[in-house]
Amino acid sequence: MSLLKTNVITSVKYLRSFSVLCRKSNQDHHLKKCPILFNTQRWLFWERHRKGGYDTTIKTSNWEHLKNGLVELKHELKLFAKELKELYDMDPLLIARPGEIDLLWCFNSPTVLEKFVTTCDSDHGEGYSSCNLEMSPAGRALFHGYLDTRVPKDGRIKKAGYCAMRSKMQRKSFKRASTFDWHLYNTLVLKVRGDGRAYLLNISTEGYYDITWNDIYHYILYTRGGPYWQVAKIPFSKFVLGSKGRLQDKQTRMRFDKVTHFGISCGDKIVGKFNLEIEYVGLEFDPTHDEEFAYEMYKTDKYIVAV
Amino acid sequence: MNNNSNKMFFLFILFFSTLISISSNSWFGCWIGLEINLLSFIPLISNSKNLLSVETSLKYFLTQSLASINFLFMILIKFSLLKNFNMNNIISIMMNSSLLMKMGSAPFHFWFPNIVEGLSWMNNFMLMTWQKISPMILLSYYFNKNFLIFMIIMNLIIGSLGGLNQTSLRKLLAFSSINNLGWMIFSIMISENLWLFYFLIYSMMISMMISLFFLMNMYFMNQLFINNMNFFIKLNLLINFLSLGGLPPFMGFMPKWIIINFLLINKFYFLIFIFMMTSLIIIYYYIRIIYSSFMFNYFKMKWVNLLMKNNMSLINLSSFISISSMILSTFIFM
Repeated sequence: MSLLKTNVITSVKYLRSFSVLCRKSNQDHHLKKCPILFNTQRWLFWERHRKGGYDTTIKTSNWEHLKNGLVELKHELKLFAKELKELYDMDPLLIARPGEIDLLWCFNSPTVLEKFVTTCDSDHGEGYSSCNLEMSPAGRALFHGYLDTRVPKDGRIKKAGYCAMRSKMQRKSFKRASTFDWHLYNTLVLKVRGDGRAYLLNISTEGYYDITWNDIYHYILYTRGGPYWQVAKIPFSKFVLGSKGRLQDKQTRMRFDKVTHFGISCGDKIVGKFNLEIEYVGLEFDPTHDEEFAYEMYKTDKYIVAV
Repeated sequence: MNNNSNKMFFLFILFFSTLISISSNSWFGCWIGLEINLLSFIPLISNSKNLLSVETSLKYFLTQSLASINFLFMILIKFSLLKNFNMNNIISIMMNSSLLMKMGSAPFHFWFPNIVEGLSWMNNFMLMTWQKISPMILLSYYFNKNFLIFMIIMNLIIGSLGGLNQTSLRKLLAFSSINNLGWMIFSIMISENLWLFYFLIYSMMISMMISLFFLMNMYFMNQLFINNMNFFIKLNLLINFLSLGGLPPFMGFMPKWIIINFLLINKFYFLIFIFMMTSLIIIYYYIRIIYSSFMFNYFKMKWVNLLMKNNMSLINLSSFISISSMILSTFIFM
């Protein structure tokens, strides 16, 4: 009797934090800390959490918060002064000259690596892959790890095996969220040295509303193994829209003025080590490239809905 | 979407709603007109093919409906407190605030450049010209003079300073529109006829600019510098920008001249100072763009082919009108 009682109580607890219209819910005890829904049929597309329900907060005491805040205050005031000076200069970048690559990140020192975050499926107990971003012996960033497609045997997830690195959110002074503004450019340039595996380039353009929070534009970058570096110039028109990993039927071109994150991920279902060395990630304006969007620009008849 | 009957339908309702709003004999009818205006404008701007325009239309809906709710609430309070004249000041301020928010005037302007950035040129033209008519006229029915003068000053300052660091042509025209709103609010306080005159000339200038940008498909300033525009298009750009800034002898100076005349006669010296200084800042910025496009960045790229042969007559006509209309207008009195 008591066993039955506890089961009922825990299921009620979980139901409270999920939407009532969901059919299945998790009854796994060790998921108390991170209530995530897997394989459930949702009848809403409302997103409660920006990060998809994963609990990524670091718990600190109030006293620690205060101390950290005071240290940050000085730094933020400096940033604010810098912003005011830029406003006073009134000299925005008006033109990107053709043939010039404006670097976003040049990975020649360890400080640049702090602008990126690596995630993999073992972070929340969803798999057994591991990944790391550090400096390589050649003095460039090395994104490496081990991709494992073994599924944890507790029935929560069906597929496993991904590792990703993503740039942190751009911040203005006082921790205000800001975005990249890439309207001057139309090509992404990467100088990488891969190991022959295919990596996915992800450009995330989280908008203002929650329907677009998971909109990521993907492009598969095929690398050559081998000692030579490769320079990949990918126009933004070739990126394809996906949301939560699913390619959308209704494709639209990327918005360049409010790009939030750039990331590279490895999830090609091949079990084994992966190594990707990156020298720089930059942007270029290619005036000869006049394609607006590479996918599905045709008009459909009016009786075909949702496309 | 050239032959789209849906757009025609919503455009008709848009025009009709403004007429409902300004010709009603009750505040409630005004509110109804504003609501129908909002409802018919949303389908015009939301294009489900483009994620950005969906977001923009939702933001527009939220801000405008908030202003409408505020307006309705103030109307109802006014009806229920008819005999209490002490409340008149507060109610008039609140009603004016909600109408100013509808128009995109400072200090309720934060949505305006954001939304203008997400719309196409034709929709921007509708937003900057037609959507201002009914809030302006409703403002003239019950305005609070001191409050509005303060708002005018804010409009002028924000419109001039906000446009200084912009690289997007749409946001630039949005801040220019906010600045011109300051002039227009003052003109409607003087007389409705003067406001109509200012509004018509402003609409003409904006339409010339927007039609040029629309034909060349230009949304950002870097496109001004790298396109192979021929001399007459650049000249037209120069004339239109200076006309928008209010420089004589172009057309845009005429309505500003009349307003300055009124200000001087009635000794609004502080206001004149602010009007002049902010106009100077705006003209500084326009000249910066035109100089760069005309002289410093004179590229002749071989891969850009701009065929404007068929549309040259429109451009030449608009340049002619901008230059000569001040002088030709004096012939009316002959």
